[in-house]
Amino acid sequence: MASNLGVKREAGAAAPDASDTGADSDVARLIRSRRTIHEFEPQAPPQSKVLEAIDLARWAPNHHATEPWRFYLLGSETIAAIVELNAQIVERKSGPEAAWAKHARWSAIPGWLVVTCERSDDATRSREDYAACCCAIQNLQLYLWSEGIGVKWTTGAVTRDPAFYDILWIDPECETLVGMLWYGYAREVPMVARKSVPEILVTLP
Amino acid sequence: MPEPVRRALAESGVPFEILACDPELADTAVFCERYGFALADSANTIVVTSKSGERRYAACVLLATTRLDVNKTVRKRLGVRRISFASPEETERLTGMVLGGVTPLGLPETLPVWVDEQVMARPYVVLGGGNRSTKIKVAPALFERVPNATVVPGLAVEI
Repeated sequence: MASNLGVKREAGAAAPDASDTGADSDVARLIRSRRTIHEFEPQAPPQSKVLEAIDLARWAPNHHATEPWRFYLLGSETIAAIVELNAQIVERKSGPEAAWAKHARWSAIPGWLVVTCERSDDATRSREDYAACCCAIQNLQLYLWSEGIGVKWTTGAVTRDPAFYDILWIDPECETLVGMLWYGYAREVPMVARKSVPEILVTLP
Repeated sequence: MPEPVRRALAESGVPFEILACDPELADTAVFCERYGFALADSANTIVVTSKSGERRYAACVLLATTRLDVNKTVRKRLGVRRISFASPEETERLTGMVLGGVTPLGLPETLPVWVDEQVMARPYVVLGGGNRSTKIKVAPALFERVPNATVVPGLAVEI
C-alpha cells in the first residue's frame, strides 16, 4: 500500500520536513511526522492502545453512516497461520530460502490487525464505504502514532489468497479486505518526500 | 469424565482407551508434544456458529494438522452467510464442556457433528474427553456409531 523512499533514521528522532514552519499545531505535527514503519521492536504494545485506536477509527467520515468497517485483532494462533500461509506462497514463487526468511521476518512482527469493509451491491456505496474505511485506518494510525506506536498498512499477496479469509473466518462475499495492519514500536523511522503543494494543487475561480 | 461422554463411549461398542491428562497441558499442540502423540493422530472438536440471522451450530471434528474449510464447506453446509467459531462461553453452554476438553461424544442430539473424512483414514485418533483432564484414544470407526455424526468430505484442508 505505502512505499518508503529515502534514508532510514533511528526511532525517536523527529522526521524533518521542509514544510514544517515550526508553527505547526499538534495535529499538524502528528500528520507530518507519521511514517509507515517497516522495522519494529519485539515488544507488543498494550492491547488497550489498539482498542482505543479502533474506538477512534470509527469516527471517520462515512457517507450515510453505513459503518462498513470491521476490525480483526489477531492472536498468536491466527498470526502463525497467516505467517505459514505467506511462507507457502513465497516458497512457490521464490523458493525455500526466501520463504524461510519471510517466515522469520513476519514471525517477529509484534502486532497484527486486519480491517475489512462490508461489501455492497451498489457500486457508489462500495466506493464510498471503502473510502470511509481508509479514513478509519488513518484515524487509527494517527492515534497510535501519537502514542509512539507505528503501523504498516499492507495489502500483499497473502491477503488475496482464499485461505487467508478462511483463517480469519471472513466470508469474502460479505467483506473485502482494506488492509492488514502491522503495528508496534518503531525500530527505525524512515524519511520520505512528498510533492510540494503547488505540484498537486489546482486553484479554480 | 462427564457421564454423557462415558455413556456414549460404552454404547458405541468400539474399543477405547482413556488417557489422563494434566489440565495445564490439555491444549492439542502442547498435549501432543508432552505425551508423545503425533498431531496427525489428534482430532479437535470445534463448534461453529452463525453470526447473523437464525442461530445455528455444528460441532466439527478435524485433525490437528488441518484447518476448517470455512468459506467453501462449513459455511455452505451451515446454510448461512457469516460464520464464526463459537466463543468459549457459548461452547460450554452448548456442550457442557470447556475448551481443551470438548469431545464429539455425548453432545445434545440437536447439535450435528461433522467429521472430516481425513479423520476416518487414521488408525486411531486422540479426542477430547469431555474435560481438560481426560483424552480418549479410539478408532475413528467410533463415528459410525455416533447418532448425530456425519462424515463430510472436504470439511478441512491441510495447513
